[in-house]
This record gives sequence, C-alpha cells and structure tokens, in this order.
Amino acid sequence: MSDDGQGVASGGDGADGAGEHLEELPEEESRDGFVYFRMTGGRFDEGKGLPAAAAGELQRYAELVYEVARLQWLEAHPERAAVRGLRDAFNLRLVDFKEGSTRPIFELHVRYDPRVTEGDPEPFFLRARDIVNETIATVAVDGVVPPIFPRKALPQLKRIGKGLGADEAIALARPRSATEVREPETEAILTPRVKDILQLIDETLAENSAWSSATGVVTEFDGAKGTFRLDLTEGRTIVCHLGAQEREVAEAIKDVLAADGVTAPDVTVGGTAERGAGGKLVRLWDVNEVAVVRTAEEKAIMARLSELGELQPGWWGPGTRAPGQAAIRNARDLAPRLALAVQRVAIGADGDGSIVLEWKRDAARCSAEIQADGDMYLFAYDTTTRQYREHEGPFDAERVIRFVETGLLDV
Amino acid sequence: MSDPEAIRDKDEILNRQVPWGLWDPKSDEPMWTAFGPQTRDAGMMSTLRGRVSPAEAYRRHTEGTELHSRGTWGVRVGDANDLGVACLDDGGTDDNPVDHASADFRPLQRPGRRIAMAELHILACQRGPLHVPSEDAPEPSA
Repeated sequence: MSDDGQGVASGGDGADGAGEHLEELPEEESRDGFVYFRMTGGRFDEGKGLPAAAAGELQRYAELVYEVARLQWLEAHPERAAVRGLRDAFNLRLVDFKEGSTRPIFELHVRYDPRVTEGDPEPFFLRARDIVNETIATVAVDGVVPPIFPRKALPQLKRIGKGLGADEAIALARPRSATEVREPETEAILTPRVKDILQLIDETLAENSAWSSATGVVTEFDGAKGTFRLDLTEGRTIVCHLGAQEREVAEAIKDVLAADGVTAPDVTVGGTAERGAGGKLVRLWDVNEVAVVRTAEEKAIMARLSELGELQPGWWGPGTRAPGQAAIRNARDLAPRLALAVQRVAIGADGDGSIVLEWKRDAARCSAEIQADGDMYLFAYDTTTRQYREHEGPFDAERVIRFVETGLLDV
Repeated sequence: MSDPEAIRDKDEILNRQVPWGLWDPKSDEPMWTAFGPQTRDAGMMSTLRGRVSPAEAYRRHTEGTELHSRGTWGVRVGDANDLGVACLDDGGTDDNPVDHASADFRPLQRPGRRIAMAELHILACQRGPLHVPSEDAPEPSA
C-alpha cells in the first residue's frame, strides 16, 4: 500500500484479523484477484459468455463484502457511530473473466484519504471476504450462520444468489497465489438450498434485526451522496442512504422519484433502521430494497374516488344523489387493475348515486355504471355502426376489468 | 299550467353546464354522462335557452347557488331531436328559472339514452366549450 492511500489488494492469506495484519499480507501476486469466484451449472455451462441476468450476482456479492467490512470497522471503532470514507475506499473492479466467462476476476483498488478514514481500510475488506466465504460454507454444511458473521448484514447475505437457477451454484474460495495451479477446495458453495436456509434464518432473526422498511413517496434524490428523501404515508419525512454498490436500487429510486414532489407511486424501501426517541424511525441506512406498492395512476384513481365520495346530495341540481357507499367501495376495488389498463378510463359520478367509468375503444364509446344498489350497467356503443351492447347485473369486478381490457361484454 | 312547448328552432344552441363530477381532467373534456338527464327517474336534462349568453348561463348556474360548473357547452336542438330527444321550453314553470329548457330523454330506454348522450357529447366536443370560467373563478371544494 502506498502512502497516498492507493493500492491494489493482493488478496493474500493471513487477513484473519481486521485492522492489524496489513504487514502480514504476502507480497506475491494473486492468481485469482480479490477472490476465487466461480459460477457453475445451468446457464453458466451453456454457450459462451456470462448470461446478462447473472451480472447482478457480482454486484450483490460486492455489496455483501462491503457491508460486512463496514460492520467490522464499526466493531473495531466502538467510539464511532458512522464510517467515513469507507464506501469510496471500496473500489472493487471487475477486470477479467476466465474459463468461458464463468469465473469473474475482481481486483480491489483501495482508495482512501488518511485524513478522512482512520487507518487503512483494506484489511477490513479482506477480512470481510473471508467471513463471507466462511459463512456460506458453514450454512451449506451445518445449516447455521456462524457467530463470526455480523447479524446486521443478514439482509445482504440473503440477497446473494437470488438469481440462481435450481441447478446453478456459485463457488467461493480464497484466491490462490500466482504459483498455485490446482483448483482450490471450495466448501463455500452457494446453491438454491443454501438460499432457502438463509431465508429461514433471516425470518427467525427478523424480529431482533435492525432491518426495517418504510412506505412513502420519494421526493428528492441526490445521486452524488447516494441519499433520497422519503415522505412517509404517515406524514413525516426521513432521509434514506443507499447501500454500497446498489446501482439497481438507485435506478429504481430514480424511476419512482416524484418530479413535482407529489405525483409518484408509493414505494416500500428497506434498510438498516436508525431510530430516535420512542423508537421512531428517523433514518434508513444501506437501503437495498425498493418495491412499488401503489402506482401513481392507482393513487390518482383513489384520490378521484375520494373526491367524488365527498359530493353532497344535490351536487348536480335538485334531486341528484351523492355517490353511494357501495358504489365507491366497488369502484375502489377496481382501482389497482384500472391503473394498469391500456385504456385510459375517466371516472365521474352521475345523479343517481353511481360511479361512472367511461373510455373510448376505437370507434366505440364504453361506460360502466357502478351503481349505489350494488348492481352495474355496462354499455358499449359503436359510433360507426350505431350498434350497441349492454349488460346489467350484480357488480362483478372481474367482468368490469375484462370489459375495460378487451371490450368484450358477453363472457 | 299548460304543458311546456317544444322548441321549434332546430339551430338553437342550448346552454348546458358541465359539473365538476363529470369532468375528465386528463382529456380536459366533459364525460358523456354530462349530456344526459341528471337522474334516470326524472329523465330531463336541464339547460338554458340559446338567447342567454353562455357566460350569463354559467353565472346564473353558479352565482348564489351551491352548484359548480366547468363551463358552458352547447346542445343543438335539431341534433337532440334527431336522437329522439325533444327540447322543451319550460322556463318559469314548476321550479324552473326563467329561460330554462329541458331536453326530454323520457321516451328513450336506457340504451337509447346512453346513445343520445354519446352523440350529443361528440357534437358538443367538436363545437368546443361556449364559455369557460376564468382562472380567477374559485375552485370548487367538491
């Protein structure tokens, strides 16, 4: 390691203690880069090249190693609440593929500013690599997560291998030195069975984990800092920090960002919780999961129905009725599917207490009256042929959706 | 009181107010249900005669009332008649204000009413709004 904080990890043996074994690392060059990493079976044995869909495995592996290193660093520095500069220092690069692209070669180019990062972080990364290898080996053989593995990194551990097929596996081992040629013993083999065990372990430990999730709208995104603002559905705002190497999550967050601060889907994001007084969630660290729970279109439909539900009797003149509760309730049941429909559906109320859906389908004008008495009336009128079709009966959500999606009334 | 008389001038454009609850903000147009009777039971669509300006029709509909409107749209008497909908001059009768006219959907069954609404909507949208309230007009609360 040079004095300016730049260096390439040799990946050597002996990094079995964080922060104190840098001098013990062998000088000889590694044959396998940072880690021996080999993908086998299924898609990996077919044809040439790495299946594009498998690239996420490399990313998830890097994310896991970083997280374990971060937690190791925090354990070694109990006086510190957060790590500075470690993320920038972890510059794990994919430099080559061997053996038909099933063996990616990583190099760790450690970059750090000694004024920011307290000491050389490289031993923590090497230690993290070994902990990951040992953990997967132990889970595969004994079905338990070894004590050496930090529990707070279970979410990241659970994620690796999630794209593996039933007959596929990832073998991990310490890298060989430049002079070693025989294949390493790879007890650390990640298979779908190991994934299943990890899932069970994670569920068991979930209650005690700092892992948490929150639902709301993403209103600001700072790509440089890797942070975003989440306006919670309960009315508060929290700041969320993306996990290292979480490019897919970062892209997903950008996709759901409310450009106008309002119009965006509701998402649930998961990460490590920082809680304030009373256990209230104040911040999420290392966010590595994001899922849309309600699309912007569905929210707009629900908002429209709420507004229509506030109409008062007489809203459209003497004798007109407010939308009935059954009509509103049934229309709400339609909202998630209507939001996905290709046909854009206008939603209104009539003076009889019904919720009315209208849409155009080619030359046809279609409508669905969701009535206050729990019935419905579906109607399609072809403005070219002047033919019409109708259906009247009890409310049937599936039938309404089928009508919207296909224009068919008679099935 | 005598029965209201049918309006004979086929080219008269009646003033129809479009309520907020039947406005489609995405297409920025009325929904077609807005061109039908307010309730199936009564079967009558309320308008003001063509001699009232569209802006005045809007004012009379909304001023001093609890009613809201996205603007005034036109319904031509001859078009309504062709669809089986008579237009009756019933201003000042019963509870109707002066200059009131009703489009009578009562002779039509439910499909016929829907067809008439759709056709009147198409024609009204081709004609465009006759009066749209200014941006300064207060937004309806519901």
